[in-house]
Amino acid sequence: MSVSVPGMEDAGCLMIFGYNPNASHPIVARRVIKAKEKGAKIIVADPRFIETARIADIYMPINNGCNVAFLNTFANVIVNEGLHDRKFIDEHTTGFDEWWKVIETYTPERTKSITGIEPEMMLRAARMYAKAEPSSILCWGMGVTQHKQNVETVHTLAAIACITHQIGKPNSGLAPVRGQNNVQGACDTGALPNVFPGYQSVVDPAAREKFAKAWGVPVERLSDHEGYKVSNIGHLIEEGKVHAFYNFGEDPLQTEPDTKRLAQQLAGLEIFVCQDIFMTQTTAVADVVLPATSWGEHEGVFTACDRTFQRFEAALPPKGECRHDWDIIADLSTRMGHPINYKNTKEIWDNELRALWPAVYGATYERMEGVGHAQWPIPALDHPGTPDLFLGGQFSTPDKKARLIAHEYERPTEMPDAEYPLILCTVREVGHYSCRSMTGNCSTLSLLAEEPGFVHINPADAEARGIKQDDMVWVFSRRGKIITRAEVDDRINKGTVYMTYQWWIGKCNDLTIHAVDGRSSTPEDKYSACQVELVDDQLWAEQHAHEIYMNMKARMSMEAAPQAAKPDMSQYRSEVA
Amino acid sequence: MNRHIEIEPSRCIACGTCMAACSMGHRRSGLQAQPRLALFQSRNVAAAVTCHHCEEAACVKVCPTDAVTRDADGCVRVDEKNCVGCKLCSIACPYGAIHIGGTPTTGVVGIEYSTPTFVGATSPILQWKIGVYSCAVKCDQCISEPSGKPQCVTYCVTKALRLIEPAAEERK
Repeated sequence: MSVSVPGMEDAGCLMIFGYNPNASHPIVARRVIKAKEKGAKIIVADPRFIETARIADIYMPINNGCNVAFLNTFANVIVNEGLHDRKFIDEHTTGFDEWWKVIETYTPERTKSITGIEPEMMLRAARMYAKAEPSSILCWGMGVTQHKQNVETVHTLAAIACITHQIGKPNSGLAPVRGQNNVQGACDTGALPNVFPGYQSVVDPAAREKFAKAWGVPVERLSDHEGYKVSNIGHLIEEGKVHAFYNFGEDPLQTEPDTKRLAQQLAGLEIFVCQDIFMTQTTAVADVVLPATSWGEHEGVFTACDRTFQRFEAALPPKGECRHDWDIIADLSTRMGHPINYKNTKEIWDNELRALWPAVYGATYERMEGVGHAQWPIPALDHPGTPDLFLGGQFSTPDKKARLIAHEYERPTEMPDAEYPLILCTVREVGHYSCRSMTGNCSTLSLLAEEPGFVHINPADAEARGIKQDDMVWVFSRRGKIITRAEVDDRINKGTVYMTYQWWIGKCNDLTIHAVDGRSSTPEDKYSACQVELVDDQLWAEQHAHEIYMNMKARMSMEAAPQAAKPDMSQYRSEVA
Repeated sequence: MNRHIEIEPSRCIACGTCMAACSMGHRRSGLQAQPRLALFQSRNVAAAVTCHHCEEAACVKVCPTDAVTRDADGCVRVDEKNCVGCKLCSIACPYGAIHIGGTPTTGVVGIEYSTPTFVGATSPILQWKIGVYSCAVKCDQCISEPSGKPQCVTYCVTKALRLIEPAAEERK
C-alpha cells in the first residue's frame, strides 16, 4: 500500500473496488466506518451489495469480470470531463499520449453493456473520486487480483491515481489490502521465486554477489534465474520439471483451483514434504510431515499490508515434536550441508533482513518492543518510518516518474453458456480464516458456520430452480460436482453464485477453472462457469454430507495418529497440584 | 427504562464477533453454547439483535415451569436447569430472541457421531436431534461473567453495541 491503514480515516474519499473489507479484514472495515463518520465519501464498485455498500455514497453494481473495461471507462470520463491534473501528469508521469490512445475509445456509452454502469453514474463517481479533498484512496482486494487481467487492472488503477493527483500526498494513493496475514511479510523476506529479501532481484549480479557473501557461499551456488510459482506446480509435475515439493503452511488441495486434478498431479511427485500445524487434506498425502508451531507458540515479526512491522511474542512453548518454522529450516539446511546456527528470531531479523535490506535498517527489535512498530522504508535508527510513499510525486522508477500503462479489455476465460449458465465466484466470509485449517478446529466458530458450507444465490436464481433457504444443492462445473447448502441472498447479483473456499464438502475449488495470468500466475478464482440444482432427497443429502464429513475427519485423525507425540504435560500437572 | 443492549446498525459490519464472544463466555460459565444474539441481514440493514428484556415479557408469562423469570435488576433470564424445553417462550417472543439449544450426547454415551434427522430448511423450533435435551437459550446480560459486562458489548470491534444502564431511580 502506498498509504497507511490508519491514514484511510483521514482521506476525503475511499473508492472500494473488488474488495469486501467487512468479510476479509474487519479491522480495516472499522477504519472505513470511522472515515465515513469523519465525513469521507465512500464509493463501492462491486457485483455484490457488500456491507460497505450500505454506507456508500455511490454504489456501482458492476458486472463480474469487467474490471479493465470499467476502469478504462472511469479514466476516460475523468479525462473527458477535465477532472485530471494536467500539471501533475506533465511533471510526474510519462506515457500519457500512448495511454490515452487506448483509453479514448472506452466511452461510458460503449462499455455500458460490459460494465453494467449507466454513464451518468460513472460521471458522478469519477467526479467524487477525482475532486475529493484532501485526498482519495483506491482500495482493492482479491476482486482485482484473482482475475485473468489482474496485473492489467492494477496498472489501470495506478494510472487513475496518477492522472488525478490522488497519489503523492498524505493519505492518498493505492491500498491493495493483502489476502492473508503476513503475505506482505512473506514477500518482504523474499519468499517469492524472483527476489531475495527486500525485493532484490535474483538475476541482478550485484544482489547475487551481496547475498552470496552474506550467506558464505560461492555465487554460482545461488540460482541465476527466476523460480517456479506455486500455482503452476501441478502442470510442472506433469511435465516432469518438478520432482520434489516442500509445501509450507498451505493447504493447496483446498485453496488451489481444480483441486481434483491437482491431487492427481501431486501423486506424481517423487517426494512431498509438508510443514503445518494441523493435519489437512494436503498434509494427509505427504511423504513427510514436519510439525510446526502456531502463532501463539512462536515469536517473530509480521508485516501488515501497509508495510508496518509488528513484533509478536510467544505465549506458549511448543508441544510434543513441534518445532518453530525457522528452527526446522535451519536444521534442514544444516543437514543438507549449509550450517545455519541462529538462536532466536532477533538474530535472523538483524542478520538476514536489517543487514541486507537498507530500507529497513531502522526497524530494530528494541523499537518494536511491546506494542511498538516500524513502517518501512525506515533506513536509519532515528528515521520515523514512512506512512505515505511517493510524497511530492517522487516514484520508485529511475526517472522518479510514474509510467502510465493502458490495456485493452479481454473477457474472462470461461464464459457461462447454456449448460453452465451461472458464474461461480470464490470469496471469503468472516466466520472462518482462509482454508479453515486453523479456525475449523475452534468449536465456537464451528458453531457459527459449519460443513457443508454455503453457496450464495440470488432469490431469482433460487426460485427458478425451486431452491429455498438452507436447502441442500448440487453445484457442478466442467471440473467436478459437490454438495452444499443454499444461502438465498438478495445482496448478490443475478446470474452469479458465490462460495467461500474453506469447506471440505462444499468445496468450490473442485469446480473452479485452473487458468493463470501470464505475468503473476495468479489463478482466475473469481470467474468460472457452473450450474446449481436442488437435491431431490433433502434428508439423504443431509446424511450424505454428514457421512463424508465424518469420514474425512476420521481419515485425518488416522493420518495424524502415527505422529502424535506425547504432549509435555508437566506444566499442566503443576497447575492442578 | 430497563437495562438493555442497543445496536447502532450504521456501525455494524456483520463480523459476528459478538456471537462468538457470547458463545465463548457462556460456555466458560458452563451454560449453553448457542449465541444469544442473532445477526440480522437484509439488503439495507445489518444488525446484531438480542433480547429486549420487555416490561411485560411474554416469555415469562407462558413458561409453565417458571424457568423464565424477571430478576431484581430488570433482566429476563432462563434458569437452564429448570427449563423443560417446551419451546413456548420461543414461540411467544415477538422478537425471535429465544433460541433452542441443547447438549448433544455424541461422543459421551457411546454414540460416535449424530445422524441428521431433519432437513436443513426446517424451522429451528421444529428441529430435534436424537438424544439431545433441548433448552431455551436467551440473553442473560452475562450475569455469570466476573466483569458483569455483556461480552458482546465488550468485544464489538466497531462499538456498534452499547449497554444502556438506566439511572437507579428509573429502574424502580
